[in-house]
Amino acid sequence: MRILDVRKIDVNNHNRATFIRVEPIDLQETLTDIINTLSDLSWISRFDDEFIQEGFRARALPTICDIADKLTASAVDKVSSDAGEYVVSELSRNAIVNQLKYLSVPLAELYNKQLSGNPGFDFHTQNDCEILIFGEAKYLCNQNAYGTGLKQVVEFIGNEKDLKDIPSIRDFFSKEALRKVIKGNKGFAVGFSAKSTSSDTLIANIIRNKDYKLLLAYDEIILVAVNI
Amino acid sequence: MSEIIKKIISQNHLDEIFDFAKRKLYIEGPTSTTVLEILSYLSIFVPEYFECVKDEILEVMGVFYKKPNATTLQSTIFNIYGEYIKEKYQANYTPVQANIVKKINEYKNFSFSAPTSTGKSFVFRNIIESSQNDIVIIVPSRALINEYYDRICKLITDKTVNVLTFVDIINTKHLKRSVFILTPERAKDLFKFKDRLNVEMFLFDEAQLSDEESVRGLYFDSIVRRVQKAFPDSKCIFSHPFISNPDAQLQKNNFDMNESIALQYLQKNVGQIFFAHDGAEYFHFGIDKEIMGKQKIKSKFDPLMEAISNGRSILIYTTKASIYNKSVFIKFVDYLNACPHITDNEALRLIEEVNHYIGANESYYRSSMMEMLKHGIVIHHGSLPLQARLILEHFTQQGFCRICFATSTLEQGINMPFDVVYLNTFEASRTLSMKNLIGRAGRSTDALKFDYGSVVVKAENLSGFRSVMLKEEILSNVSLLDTDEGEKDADYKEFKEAINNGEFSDEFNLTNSEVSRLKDGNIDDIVRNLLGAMFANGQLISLNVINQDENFRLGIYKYFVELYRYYLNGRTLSDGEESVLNTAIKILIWKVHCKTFKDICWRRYAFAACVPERREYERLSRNATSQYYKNIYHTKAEQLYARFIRGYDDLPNSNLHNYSLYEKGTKAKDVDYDRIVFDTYDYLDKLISFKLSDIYYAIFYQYYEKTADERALRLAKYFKYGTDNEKEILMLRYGLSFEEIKWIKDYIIDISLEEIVFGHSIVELPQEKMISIERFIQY
Repeated sequence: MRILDVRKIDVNNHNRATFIRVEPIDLQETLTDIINTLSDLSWISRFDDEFIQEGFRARALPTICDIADKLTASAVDKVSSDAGEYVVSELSRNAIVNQLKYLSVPLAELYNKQLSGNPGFDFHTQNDCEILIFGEAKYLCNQNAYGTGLKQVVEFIGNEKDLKDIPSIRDFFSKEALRKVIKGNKGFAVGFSAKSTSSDTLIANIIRNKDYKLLLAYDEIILVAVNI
Repeated sequence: MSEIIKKIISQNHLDEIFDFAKRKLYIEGPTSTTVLEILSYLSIFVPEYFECVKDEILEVMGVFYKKPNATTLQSTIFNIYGEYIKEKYQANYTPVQANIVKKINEYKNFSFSAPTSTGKSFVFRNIIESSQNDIVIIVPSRALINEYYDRICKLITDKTVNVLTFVDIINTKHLKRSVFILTPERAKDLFKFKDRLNVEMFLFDEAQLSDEESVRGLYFDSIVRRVQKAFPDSKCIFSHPFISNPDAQLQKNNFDMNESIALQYLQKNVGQIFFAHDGAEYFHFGIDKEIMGKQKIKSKFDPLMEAISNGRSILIYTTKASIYNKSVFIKFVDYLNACPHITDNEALRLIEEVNHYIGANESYYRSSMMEMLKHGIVIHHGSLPLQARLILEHFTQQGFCRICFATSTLEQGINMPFDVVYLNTFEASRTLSMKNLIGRAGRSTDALKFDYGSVVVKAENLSGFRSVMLKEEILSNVSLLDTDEGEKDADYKEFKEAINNGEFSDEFNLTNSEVSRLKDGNIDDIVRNLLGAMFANGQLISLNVINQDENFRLGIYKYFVELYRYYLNGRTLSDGEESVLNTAIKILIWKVHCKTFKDICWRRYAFAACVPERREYERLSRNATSQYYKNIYHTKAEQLYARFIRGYDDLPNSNLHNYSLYEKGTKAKDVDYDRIVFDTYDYLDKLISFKLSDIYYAIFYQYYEKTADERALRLAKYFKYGTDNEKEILMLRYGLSFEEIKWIKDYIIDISLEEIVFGHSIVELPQEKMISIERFIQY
């Protein structure tokens, strides 16, 4: 993953609003990592470990290439679209963890924990001030997806998905961060697929977005544009 | 997650609910009753919503035979797995099916359990088909033998493969290998042929029989142990439903654990939802109260009526008594009334086939069972003749059955899934049986849809039902053969001792001490007198002779009773025992005189229901000169009382009293033909075939060995085969039934253990009659 841009935005209205832009160096590799993680999580990995060890990797390769090609060509079907969302989620999470040095909660661990709970946000992290950040990823093949992502986050907040997430993710975060969530101190991240639009234009549009404005009330906002 | 049923019905929180179910399914597989309940509810109450996620669910469940399309990244992973299985096993197996094949290939012995509808039969059939050597399948009942036989015959069309339900080596001129489908009792004959057989695999299906506290349970284990010794290179596969510890099967019979493996499969292919019925209304409820909801929710539809109107099928599990006294039909009359008259030609053909076998008609021999069958209503229990049962199973499998009233006979194995299972009787103590029945709800189809079934329990049984669903089924890891069981009856103890000490005779299917009692010198006079009475001029005396002289007839019965007393160590028979035995002998003599099943039923019914007398009164009524006399004759016919007829009871039982099959005061016109059919079958099946034939065969055969009296040998053959005709015996050994022999024998030029030679006229036979002989016709 290559970092293309990291900057504070909307500084007049918020002191912790960040924009990050990334692009995958090797989309196939990212997809392979995601597929391997998902296959390790699936019930067949325990049911038939021989298949996962011996047969799966090689068999998955043509599928991965096909998805990567479709994502690159923006000619996606349902599967590629779903894969695109995983890519956005995973690269956004990585970007936040690597650039901002926030807490890393790997996808696999999170997925397992969410099993018994009430899954909501796609990824989670914790900043240096012990603020828990709830992340949502959105992929759209033919347009920048920040609008859909922001809208989804606002809807989730309305449905208290952040609070409902707590029981299943509590083990990953400090007690203080969890306490703060209850008190209303929390942050939100939106990972979204971005097209060729320049970062300046993207930022300008984001700042004008009505859902973004609603998020200004929270402790931290992170927007991660993923070029895909 | 809570109150899920309520939320789905009111279409709230659907995304959350689906996400919850999907994640659990993805990580745990289709093992959770609750997840499958949720998916069933989604598919019923929000079909448009479910349609969008259906392919993903089916893919992640691993039901690749439905050929779902991967629509998400997660389901793509399963799609890749499905392709891998298809390539490796050349079949659209589910992960469980593929794993069963894999373990069978990898290990010498494999014991596993899997829920109903996991498709293990399909795997077995493929293994049987592709095998190069002999295969032995051991099942607990003859009903299951029939089902396997039927399917394997359809599957294996290669004429060099014998598919047999007895152990025999026939058709040797063409034979390359054999598939034997046997009960444990019939499996004993394998050991006689052990040097001529090359058994690749023993497949013990429904192997929980091993835990049955009965002679059969002991016998099962004894066969498993003998198989290990006599066929040390053969694989042994044990299959069970729902057992948590299939390894117990290997432990209890001392298998080498280094070359064995045991697995419990929990994955299911179909979902289920549950209803409680308070007699008036139906309510939804879930197994996990915390998740599905603590309160039962009133259903807006009647699941039974809905099934009938949509052409689906219902199983009503009930007691045999409720079928016999017809109370269950009265209770469900609204549903019966909703079943339309059947018009499908194939269904009508099957109905006619059943009718032909049992011999019902529209005049005196009326059968309410047949009347109901014409509306797609099936009755299925252990006293229904096996041949009729098999036809009815076809009828049901082909989708003609709307409602099936069944007893516990249906619990084991028989492949008859239904859309709705209604538990009209509930036996909480028999959890494995109940689970087997519950597992019948929901058919696994090839269609690209989520398959589910509905289970209905009476409201008062709701908590007991939940307990059954959650209880683990444990198989004992110590064989009953090795257990001191304390209080048990003398017969059981004698049998167990004989099995443990190798004192059981395979030849006679009796303990050695029983065999030796039955060749006691004192028995010879009785046998000689009996033979003198049964044969005249070297020929079996005719029925007319027996029927004309009652004293003579009673004399014959007496000899049989005397012989049976030797089997009982000289004990005098109680009134009830003697009456049952006399009836059995009477039926046996009819059978020997080539009376078909329906002939025997007619005779018994005509006697009990005073048919000749009623006919005569009706004739007189018709011919009477005035209405007044007509009415008198008619009333006389109507007022005749049923004659005493002794119903079947198990023997021996020293406490057995003598009473009629029908209550005192029953009118002749009210005698139920179906009851006579069931009772006659019980006599033939449970008493004559299963018990008496071994005893009398041992008596007459041993007498023949001592005296070379051919008459004794002929009687022995009557008991063993039902005929003394060598050609017929050979035909029976080729798997033909007496009904089939009747019309086939004229087409056979020659028959030997080497082959059957048919005449050219065989080509004239209609296709349905060719089925049973096609395998032996060499074009």
